[in-house]
Amino acid sequence: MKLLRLIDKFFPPQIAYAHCDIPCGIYDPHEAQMAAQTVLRMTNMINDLELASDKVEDRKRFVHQLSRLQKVKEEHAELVKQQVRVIWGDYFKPEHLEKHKDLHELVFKIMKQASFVRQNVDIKACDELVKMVQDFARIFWETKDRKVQKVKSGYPTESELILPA
Amino acid sequence: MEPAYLEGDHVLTFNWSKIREHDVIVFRSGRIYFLKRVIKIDDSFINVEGDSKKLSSKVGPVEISSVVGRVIFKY
Repeated sequence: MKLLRLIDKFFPPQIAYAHCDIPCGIYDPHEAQMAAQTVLRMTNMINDLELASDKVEDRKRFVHQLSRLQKVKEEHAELVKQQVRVIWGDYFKPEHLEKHKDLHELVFKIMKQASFVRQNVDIKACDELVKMVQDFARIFWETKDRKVQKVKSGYPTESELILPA
Repeated sequence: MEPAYLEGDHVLTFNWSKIREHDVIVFRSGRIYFLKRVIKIDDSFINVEGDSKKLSSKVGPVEISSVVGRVIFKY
């Protein structure tokens, strides 16, 4: 066994978890909404980036900042997909689908839209993603017999969040 | 994944062969890697579960593209 662990010297292992850290039964579309808002914010910031001059230092600063914004946009678009997918696959039951027949189509659209906003710098597409995730959140809370409210997020995006009333 | 895999176990994965039901796989979800057993494969998604029903929690269907590899041995 110890001899086999020499493998680790050539291929340093990563930690893999055999159970997730979130307790069963706790689902909340809030993080998906936050992630969608972050994608919108990053896209706004990318659009607002300006190249101060053609000097090398300014170009380096521009590329550096663009790279950072793009990285965060990519991560949060993927997070939208992950959060929605887990709630869709794990939480929703057949009886929920009876009342919300458009759920599968909505999730499909969210997956496609999240990919689209990663591939493009498109504010309108980001707004649509935010709206789709809001619809998803509304359906989620309705399945728990909770009324929802639209609340100002307080984020620079000036968008709203769907929260249980 | 007890009793097959315990905390502290190391596994070696292989990603050249096709994944089949009952294989143990490592996949990535966000920044975290998970070790789970394949229950069912549907098109581009894999349903996974932990062996230990007491300790395991569901992580939802997994995209095949997020699979790092199939566990070939433990050391």
